[in-house]
Amino acid sequence: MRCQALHHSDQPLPEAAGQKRTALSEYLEQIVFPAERGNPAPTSPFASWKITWPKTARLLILCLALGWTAMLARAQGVEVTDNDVIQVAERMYCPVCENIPLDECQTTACQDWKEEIRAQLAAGRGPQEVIDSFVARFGDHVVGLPQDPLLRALAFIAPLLATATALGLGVITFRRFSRRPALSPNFGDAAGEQTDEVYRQRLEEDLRARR
Amino acid sequence: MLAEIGLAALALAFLLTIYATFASLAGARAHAARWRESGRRAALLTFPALLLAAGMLIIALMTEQYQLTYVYEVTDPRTPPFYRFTALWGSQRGSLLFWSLLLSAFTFGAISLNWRSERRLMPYAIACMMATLAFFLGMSLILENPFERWWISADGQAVARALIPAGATAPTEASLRAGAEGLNPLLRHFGMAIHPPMLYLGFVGFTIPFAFALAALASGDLSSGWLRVTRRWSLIAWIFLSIGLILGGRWAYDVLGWGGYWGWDPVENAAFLPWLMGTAFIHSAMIQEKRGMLKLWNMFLVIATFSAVMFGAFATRSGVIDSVHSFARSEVGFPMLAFWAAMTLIALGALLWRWNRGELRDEQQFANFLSRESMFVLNNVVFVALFIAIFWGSFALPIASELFLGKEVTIGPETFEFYVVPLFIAMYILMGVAPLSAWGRMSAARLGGALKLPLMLSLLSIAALILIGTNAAVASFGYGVVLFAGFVALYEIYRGAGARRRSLGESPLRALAALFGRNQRRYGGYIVHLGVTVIGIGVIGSTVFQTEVQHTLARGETVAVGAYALRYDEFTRAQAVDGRMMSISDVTVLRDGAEIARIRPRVDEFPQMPMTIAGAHSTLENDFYVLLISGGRERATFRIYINPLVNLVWWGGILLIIGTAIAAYPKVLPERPQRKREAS
Repeated sequence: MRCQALHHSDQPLPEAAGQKRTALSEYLEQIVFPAERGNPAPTSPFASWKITWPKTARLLILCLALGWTAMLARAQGVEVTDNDVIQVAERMYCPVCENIPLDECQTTACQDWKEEIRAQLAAGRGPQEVIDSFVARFGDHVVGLPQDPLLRALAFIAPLLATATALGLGVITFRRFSRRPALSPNFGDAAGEQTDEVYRQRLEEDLRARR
Repeated sequence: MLAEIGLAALALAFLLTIYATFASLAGARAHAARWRESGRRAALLTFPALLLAAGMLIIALMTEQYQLTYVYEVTDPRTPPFYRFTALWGSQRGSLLFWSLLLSAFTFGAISLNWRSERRLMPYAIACMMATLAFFLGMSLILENPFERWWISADGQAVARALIPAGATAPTEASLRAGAEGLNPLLRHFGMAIHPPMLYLGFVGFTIPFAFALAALASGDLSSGWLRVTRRWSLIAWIFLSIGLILGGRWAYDVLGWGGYWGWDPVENAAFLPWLMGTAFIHSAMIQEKRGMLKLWNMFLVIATFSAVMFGAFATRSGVIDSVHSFARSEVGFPMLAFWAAMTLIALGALLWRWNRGELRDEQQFANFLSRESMFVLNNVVFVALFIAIFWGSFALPIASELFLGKEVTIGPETFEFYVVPLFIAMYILMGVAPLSAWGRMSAARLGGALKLPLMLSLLSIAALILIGTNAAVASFGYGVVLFAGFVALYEIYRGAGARRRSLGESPLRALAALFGRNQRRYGGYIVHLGVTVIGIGVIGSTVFQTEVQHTLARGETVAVGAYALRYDEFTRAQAVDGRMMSISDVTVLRDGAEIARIRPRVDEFPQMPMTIAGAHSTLENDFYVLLISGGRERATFRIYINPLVNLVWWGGILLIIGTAIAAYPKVLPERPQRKREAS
């Protein structure tokens, strides 16, 4: 919500995405849809072999090509913007100053962590993977939402149960009170005066008992 | 000499509180007027004694008496006079003395105003107030003495002692001046002059309602008297706490440099918890006043509010939680925990004892589910649920996890928002429905009829928002719910003024003034509701539609952000009068190609930490808020926020304070003569 204008960092950057889509789609068209479908002759090295490829072999090559592209992207690194780093950092907390979000903290430790986030994102890890790696090394206190299933359940369910219990106790109490006869059967806006009257009566009874 | 006078005044105040506690209790138990009067005078004297002690510390701060360890720790020769003064509450020891001073002032006020009208309650109330004050003064004297001084002992070691150790000498003025540490950079803000005192006034103020509640339980005088007094003092405390919270949000927005005003930090939450309980009490007290119901519950809420204040003081001052707002780890933790537990248990024990004796029985029964008292009970359920959820996430779960599972956890905004968003929606709906319901009995048809117009206006507003392009369904729904509460408040004011115009032929303005004059509490309350509505609109706008981006710009380069653009013009390094170095960037804000503002986000470099001071261009529509993250003359990195409607949060806060002031202001004209005039 806070970063509505930011793009999600596990999505490719617009220009990079465009480049990837063009190269891949051209290659796909050349391999999967040959010249009889109106596409130009394949320009891949395999085309010059003049062998009719069965469908399975084409798919195999496609998978290899995809794998190759992914490996290249991973090896060369993905461009990571400051906004990508912020988006992860704002879900984490400073390791030194408790309760200070990582993206806001200016300590050296936080700068180092932000650089590590940048490096992990550049290596192709998704935001959640990055967070998980920090939690695995430093524990649940580095994130605002516990990753441990028990703690997460406690964080969400316990207040609900406590509120429901408080509500239940309240209802039981009101019912008990409702069953008791009211001190005054009258409705009205002079409850204060009635209360004083009740108090005076009780005081007089106390005094009579003392005598 | 200053330290000696201050210390003597502090010790005298402590002795007076002990004497006042026992004299008042003895006077009340033995029905001895002389003891009661003596206790009262002793309690009154604590205020001038503490005024003298605090005065000595202020003089020491202003005249640079660095031999006092407190002055040494919170100021240095470069500290401007303004921050020398605010340093009184800038650290643990000074703030404890300040807390005691405020408590003695409140006690002075309560005794002066209520001694004659509440003679049976006052001795017990004084005993409770003085016992609380004695605790804080005891901590000041024994653990956190603000008049402690530096000494060079016989073996050449620097030691901090309130009284001169045998054979010790005072250190040289030059060495003290050279080593003085200066105020925490976070506290060097104009808000420091107002935010902590307001917050402390709120916290301390809730001691008075608690003292009267405990006095009612101890004396058995459970008539309407304690509630009448308690409600007014609660409103006074509540108004200060509200101002403190709003200013705290503003301080965070200006100084902490994260583009927001509420971060669900444990210490922020510690201040919010008593506010929630106090708000629940202010509402449910009306049911007891009008209908003689919820006596047990009201007592419980007053006790819970005070308990939340004491727990907050413990959490902030003990070092049990770390936060930008908390004090350093200190020895006061265990005594504070013990005092909090003891006072809460004593009060709850007395409450259960009176309840068991049947002395807190309600005078009326709940007539039906749609009655106003039922709505108020639901409102209380919402506030208590908010209290439980926030307390759990801020304190109970982190502490329990560390104690029993050996795991540290941090509960962040995403967890809190899971609860508070639906609960606040429920609160706004109840704010809309409850004022239109009636005490006693209310039929669904009548309530439905009353709700028709505000509901229709809310639906029309949602439709209008969608038509003008609000594409977030959550926001449109949120605006609708919040506006519903606001429309009901306006509708009620309009109906009231309209009725006066019709029956008495008054002009609209006169009818409005008379309406507020005749029923301050009711209509002041509606202004508070309007304030909360405006705050709600600001919160939705600034959270759902906030834009946050970071860009590195070369000098002269421009970047577009939303409807705006930012141009990086210049970079300057400068030294301030207090010695800090400042990295200042000059940037120009543009809209539709035209320059609309020049702002200077900067980084202040203090020895303890760097401070990011935002530059902002504020309009009612939004804040264009810029932080300098890093950079130099040729290139600089900026974090830019567009915070839509954020200023409504502050304006709503002002409206809320005005409304509370109207509701709490004592009536000027007695009711009967006014009625006679109107009749004639």
